[in-house]
Amino acid sequence: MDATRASLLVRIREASDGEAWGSFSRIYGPIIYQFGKRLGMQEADAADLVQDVLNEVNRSIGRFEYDPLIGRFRSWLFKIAHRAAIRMRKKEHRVHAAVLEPTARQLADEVVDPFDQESIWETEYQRELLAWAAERVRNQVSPRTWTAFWRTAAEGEKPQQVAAELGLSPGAVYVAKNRVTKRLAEKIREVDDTA
Amino acid sequence: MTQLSSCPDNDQLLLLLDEKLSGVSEIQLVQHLDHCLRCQSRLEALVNKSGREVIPAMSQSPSLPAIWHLAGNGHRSPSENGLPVRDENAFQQIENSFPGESTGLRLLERIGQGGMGVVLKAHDLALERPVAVKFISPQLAEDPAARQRFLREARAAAGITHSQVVTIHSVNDRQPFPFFTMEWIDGLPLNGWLDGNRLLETETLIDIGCQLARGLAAAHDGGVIHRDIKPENILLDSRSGQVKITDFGLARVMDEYRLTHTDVFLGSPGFQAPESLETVDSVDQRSDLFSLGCVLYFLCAKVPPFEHPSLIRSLQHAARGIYRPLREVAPRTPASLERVIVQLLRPDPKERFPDAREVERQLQSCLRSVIPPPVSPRPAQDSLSLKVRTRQGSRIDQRPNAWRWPAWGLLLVGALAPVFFLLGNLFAGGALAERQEASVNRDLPGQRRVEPVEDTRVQATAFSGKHKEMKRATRISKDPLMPFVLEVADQEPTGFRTLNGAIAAAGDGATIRVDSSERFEFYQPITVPHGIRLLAAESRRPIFDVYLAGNETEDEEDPDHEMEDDDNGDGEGLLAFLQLQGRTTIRGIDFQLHPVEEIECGLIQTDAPLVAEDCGFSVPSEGIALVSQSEVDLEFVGCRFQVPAGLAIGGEADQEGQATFRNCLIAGDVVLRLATESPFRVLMENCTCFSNRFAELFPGIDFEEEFLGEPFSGGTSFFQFDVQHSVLCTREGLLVLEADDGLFQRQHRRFLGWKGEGNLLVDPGVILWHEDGYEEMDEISWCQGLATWKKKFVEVDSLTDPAPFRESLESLYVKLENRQGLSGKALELKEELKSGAGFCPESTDRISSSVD
Repeated sequence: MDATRASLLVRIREASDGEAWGSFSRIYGPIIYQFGKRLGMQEADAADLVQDVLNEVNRSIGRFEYDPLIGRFRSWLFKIAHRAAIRMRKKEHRVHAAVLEPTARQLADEVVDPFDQESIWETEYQRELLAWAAERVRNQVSPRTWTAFWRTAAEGEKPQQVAAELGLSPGAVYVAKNRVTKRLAEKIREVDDTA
Repeated sequence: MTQLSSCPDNDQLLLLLDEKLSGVSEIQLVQHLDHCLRCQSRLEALVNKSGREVIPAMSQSPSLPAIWHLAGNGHRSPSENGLPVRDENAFQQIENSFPGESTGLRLLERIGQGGMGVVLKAHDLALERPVAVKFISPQLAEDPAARQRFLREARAAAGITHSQVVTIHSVNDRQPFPFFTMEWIDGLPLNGWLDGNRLLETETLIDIGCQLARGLAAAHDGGVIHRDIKPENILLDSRSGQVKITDFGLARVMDEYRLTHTDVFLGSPGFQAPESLETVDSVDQRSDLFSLGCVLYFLCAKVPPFEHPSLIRSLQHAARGIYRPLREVAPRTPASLERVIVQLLRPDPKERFPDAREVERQLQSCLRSVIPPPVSPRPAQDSLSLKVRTRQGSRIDQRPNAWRWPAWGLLLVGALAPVFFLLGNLFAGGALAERQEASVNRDLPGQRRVEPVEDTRVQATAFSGKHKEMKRATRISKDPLMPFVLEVADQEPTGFRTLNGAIAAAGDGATIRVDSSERFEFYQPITVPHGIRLLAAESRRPIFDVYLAGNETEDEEDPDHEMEDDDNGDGEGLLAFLQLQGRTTIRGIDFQLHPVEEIECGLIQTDAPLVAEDCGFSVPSEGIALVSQSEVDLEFVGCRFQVPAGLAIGGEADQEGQATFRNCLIAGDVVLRLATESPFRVLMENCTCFSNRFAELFPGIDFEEEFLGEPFSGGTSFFQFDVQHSVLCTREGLLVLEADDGLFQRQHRRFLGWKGEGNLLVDPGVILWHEDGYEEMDEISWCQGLATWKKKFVEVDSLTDPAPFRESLESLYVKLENRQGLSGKALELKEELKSGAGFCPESTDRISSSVD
């Protein structure tokens, strides 16, 4: 697993590895997009943000030292996204060279506290990665297994009740729930170094 | 098949999870798991050890959007535009079973789906109008009790007739899915609307609150409680701009269904009153008021007060009243509004307002306090809440909280000026200052002067040829009605009724003395085509209140444009009150800008050297530029700036420029903002600067590097910044240089003279922001000592909105407290801050006397 994960990051350093880039942007694009939206951006701006950040990653991935102990890829990516968001804001509000933007105060109020930004980032990151992984894992298991997992893990229903309704034994529901959870975790770990 | 005799080991369990067991072993293990509680939790523990960080949402209560997403209900999580996510199956079922046009309706499109129902747009065939149709959700329809409840609540809600409540037209008990029809609102739910239009003006926001309170009052009068007030249930009609509440009482259907079908409580995290956790009956109209408080908080802060993915947790927070203070999250919120919201959010219903009508009354009074009345009559003098006399009387009498916004008691203590002045309350409900000079203008008791617009225009256009006649015609000396006295060498002083009149009559370099301590109101920009000296007369302190509205008439008949033909038209985009085209000196005048609409406007725009002495410049929190334009020499001595957006300096001139600040107080979110295309130098001596925003976006001093052009001749620096004997108190740093290309590091850093002798820099003095992160430089050196600081505290008290700057001081204290090994002056300063000097208004007297 570690190898896969590291290798995606390693592979995108090779500018020529288009496929790795494809998977990279498929995984991280939505995270950045949702992050932008949560910061209050319009769709188009959030899409621009995605572009900005991916470009920046492309430029500077060479400087990102992957170290399983220190290397928090997600924090590194956050810093890039955060700065790109600020740049965009400033540009957006910079009307004229000489004229201070009238909305500086509004902008300030509108800007999310960096601390909150980081927690937004964390939420979006987890959510999108989870969704990404779920999309893949879901196709690998039977619908009944997925439902058993879903209703117990996500909706918090009692395994006994779910088992009765799905015509499974409680043990099978426990196994389904934990199998899928484990797979999701593994899937996510393929691309994220902190999970 | 035999059962396992003993529990499997971890390896076995892992193999099971990885589907690596043989069929028989797997079956045996699963059977074992059917009843071995211990192995069930071991299995969980095994997975959680690895999966904990991945799926935190699942180990606690899941966050709803993630769940929607995960469940495969549409690719994008809910509310792209505030509409709930759809379960297309539910729509399908409903559409398939819909009896058709015999109901008088033709279904048109799927709109959205909530907990208990599904909404479609339909065409009412009889009345030929669009309607919204809400069906009970297929899941609930199977429960007869839920159906009954659905219909009963809809019928009750149909009894509410109010413009702020979505009207229910008909209720229809059809099989299999009962439904009701409502008026069709062209618009979006509040949350969706906010996504697109992020900024809600305070007035709009309070107005929405008033409307909601009215709607709730009408419903409560009819005995209907909403139970689930939240942004999703509030529609903003894009035609009328009114808000309308929908889904009255329907939350109850869902609650009861859930209570009987699962023991899980589900609702809308973030907006529910704590008592809704108790029983269905513990909810009353005051629960709606709590939710209204949450909605108002949300509108101000864009986050609900109790935002936790777990509903239970957020209700616990609500029950204990744990939430971030609103003005910490949204500093722009008026204190009066915050007070209302705080009371609405009280955990104990008895401590909230008794009813929605009272809430509306309270909100109405907030509304009055935030709308500054540009031309309303002043209150009589006996309503004074602030009294200040001149120094002889030396008695400062302030309301305890008079320094708090929005009660803008503004007491200006000039750094150099030997006299204390009071600028009265700017709001209608406030007071007008009692002035020493009141007797001079007895004929205008308690009134402001209004600079007549007509007069302005006529004289400005008549300027070219007729000014001699005008001079003669208006020559009156020492008349209080002619406070603008034009002084020309070898001539009798001439009094003018308006500033414009005096300017029009003045020649290059003439002096205009303002012989009054009145407040003057200005509604139009004034262009000064040549140099003037605009000075307050001896012991006079005029105040210029500037109200600028949009300049839609700019294209036609604007004399300004003809005059600045040879100019490159830099000024476009900025509507400034004083547009200076010649060398200008201003002394002893306080300017206060009040934009009438949210437009880009400023106080002064200059294309020529400017000297301002002992002036006050204040712009409101909307953040309008104060001084701008061109790299000419600017000099400010003893001036007080209260400029949330900072001082902007910049332009496209092709010469080196310089701005000097001596003995100035600059308070704002940004101190200086520089966008110069030519080399520029800033000198700061004996100044105090406060900025209070996050440095990343709003540093104390902001360079807009993209506008940097040529370096100083013979050097490599575009910009020089010298600070001497100044206090620079910024929240997170003085300078942030965004240097993607290393420009500042390589070329600028060493030219920043900010470490000059005698400065006090609040750490982390400088943050250099570059490619690889932050670099902080902790530098504290000390200025003349506490006397200076005490003086600064007094100045802070003199600000229109001192709260943020007090916060700066408080954060300074915290920083000092956290710092190890303080010694000497630093320790003294810390003690001084701790003992509260400068923090409590009562200490003003003490400090000011020590400054004297």
